[in-house]
Amino acid sequence: MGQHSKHIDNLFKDELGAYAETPPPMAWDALEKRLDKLPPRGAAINPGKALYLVMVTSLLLLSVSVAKKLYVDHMAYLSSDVSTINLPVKGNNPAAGRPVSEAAGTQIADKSIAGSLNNNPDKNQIKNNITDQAIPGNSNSGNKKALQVYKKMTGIKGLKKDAYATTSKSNAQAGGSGNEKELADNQEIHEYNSSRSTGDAEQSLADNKTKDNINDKQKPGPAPDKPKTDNATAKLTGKPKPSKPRFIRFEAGIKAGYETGFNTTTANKLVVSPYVQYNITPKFSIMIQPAIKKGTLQTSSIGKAQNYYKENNDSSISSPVKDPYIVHVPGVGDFNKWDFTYHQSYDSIVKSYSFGGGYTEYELPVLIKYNIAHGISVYGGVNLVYNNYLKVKENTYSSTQQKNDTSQYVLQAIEITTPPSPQLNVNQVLKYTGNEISNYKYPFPPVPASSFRAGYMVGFSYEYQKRWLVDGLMQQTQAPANMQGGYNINSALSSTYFRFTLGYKLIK
Amino acid sequence: MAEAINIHAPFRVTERSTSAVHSELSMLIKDCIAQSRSAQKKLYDIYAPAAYGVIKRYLYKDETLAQEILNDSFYKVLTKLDQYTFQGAFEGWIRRIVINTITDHLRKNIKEDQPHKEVQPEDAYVQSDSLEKITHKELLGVIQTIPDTQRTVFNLFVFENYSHKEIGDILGINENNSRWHLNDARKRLKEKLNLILK
Repeated sequence: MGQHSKHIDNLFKDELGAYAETPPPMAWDALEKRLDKLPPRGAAINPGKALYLVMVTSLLLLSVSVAKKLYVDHMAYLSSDVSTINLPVKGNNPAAGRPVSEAAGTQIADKSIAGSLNNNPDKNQIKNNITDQAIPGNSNSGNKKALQVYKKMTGIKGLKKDAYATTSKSNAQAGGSGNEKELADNQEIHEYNSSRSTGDAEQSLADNKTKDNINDKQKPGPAPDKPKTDNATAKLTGKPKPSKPRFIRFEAGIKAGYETGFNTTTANKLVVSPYVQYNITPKFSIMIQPAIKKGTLQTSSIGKAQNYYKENNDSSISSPVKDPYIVHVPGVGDFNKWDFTYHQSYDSIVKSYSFGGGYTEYELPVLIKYNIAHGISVYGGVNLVYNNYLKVKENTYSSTQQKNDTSQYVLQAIEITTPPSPQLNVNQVLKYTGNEISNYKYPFPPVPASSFRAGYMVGFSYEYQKRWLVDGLMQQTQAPANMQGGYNINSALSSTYFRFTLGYKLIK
Repeated sequence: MAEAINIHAPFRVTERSTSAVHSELSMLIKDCIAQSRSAQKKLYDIYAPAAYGVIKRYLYKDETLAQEILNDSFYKVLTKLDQYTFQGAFEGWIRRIVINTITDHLRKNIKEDQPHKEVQPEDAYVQSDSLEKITHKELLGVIQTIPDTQRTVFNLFVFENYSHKEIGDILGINENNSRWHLNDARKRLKEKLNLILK
């Protein structure tokens, strides 16, 4: 017995190179359990979804902060109204921080003093006395004291009443000379108080400016500031006059751009979207941005192609032809071989399926927009979309009049000279792959012709030169799964899409 | 004997063309990507035995680890099918994933030790009159007797046709050490085989 020699590498390679072993069934069970934990296709967190989560969270936080700011501003506005309106009313005014009567009294006293100085020959004496009494406190009580001292020394009675009447008159006359008077009074009082606070009340009282101011009451004064007019109106009516907004309420324009997704099942869309925006505040607005989108989805084959046949009515069997050779069947004997030819033509039909192509989509998003910086805004909201469902297209390839010629033979004992009859009929001999076309049924269930879908939309907008808009947004809507041939043909509808548009403000 | 004998000739021989097989594979892969469980099972049934055979060459005795690696490998295959570009044989793509999974597991046990002096065996041939009688199981048993590093290097060099540089890169060892491990593996295998064949 001769010895075989083999390189050790080749020995193993030859014997184990194609080694295969069926894994135990539990291996598949374990894998299947693991696969079951996988999220549905497309549901895994991808960068797009992560971005969406970040944007939605940011928008939510932004909305909360905006709402909070609006609330705080509103409360502050109400507070300021209360103090303005109640100012001339007698009684305590907590909002003003001191008794209103006292505050009004201060004005009256100061004004009365100042007003009477011009007419009093002994004003220096009076001034001195007032200063001595009023300066130490430099307060409202000081003013009162000053008034009392002045009244006592001058013997003027009814001054307070007159002064009060003057003030009331000025309050009663909203705008015009009344306002001017009030303005002048306030100016005078302010200057008087200011001069007292410097510790030089005597100089301030003697100041010609004060006199001039007092004299100015007789002249047409400068136009009062707008807020003071508003305040005066508010004082008259008891209600704040709604302030005129200093920003544009309505904006409108049009945007156009391109929308796409980041996987192979998404469509590419051309988008045209007009928009209307209502600005609630300079920063906060509501926007409706309807869009018409023309989408194109790559055509893909789905399911398996199916073969069918259709027999034609031209079947025939040829006359038997004796083969020149004798067939010897061991143990049985010799036979003549008679050949028959079976003929039939047929149509070969292949059915395949695909989906894709163009479709139109309409959407109506309602968005809340917030201006985060000069020209830069973020927005987000709900989106209602309508489009025709994508349908599976049936493709038929048909090849007609194919020949099916098949030979069949019969062995017959050599002593029999009469040709035999065919032993099998056409249907037994001629066979076809696939199914008879009469068995064909459209393999995919019908789907609804159209549907509405809801989803979300988040994005940002950059405004350039007050007219041009550059927008980037992300949106997704949910469409029910429509499995056709093992493939969800609605995945294109429920995918995440990203849009880039350029816009122009038509109304601003 | 006057009766006729009917002999049915074969009507049609159906041969599946390469394109038909390719088309069928494409459909199967597409179904797997769509997470059709029946398609995944079909793909597993077709390719798992060969993959398991490869794994068993590395880990014949450790059935649990072999199944774990098979599980990991096919999990990767089924979740990364969308990355298969239909360039090259699908079997090769799966095999590469399996080999990578194996080496990922085994790399932990392979430590780069001191540089080995290259040893060239005097004779890498096995001589016996009963070479043909040796069974797969015996060969798998023999290959499991050598150390992990030598076995891995031997497998990668002989069965996967990797060069020593590639083996060095995969296992994180020196190229010369890869040579040494291969020769050491041959030497050990030869000794074991001679014992069996005697």
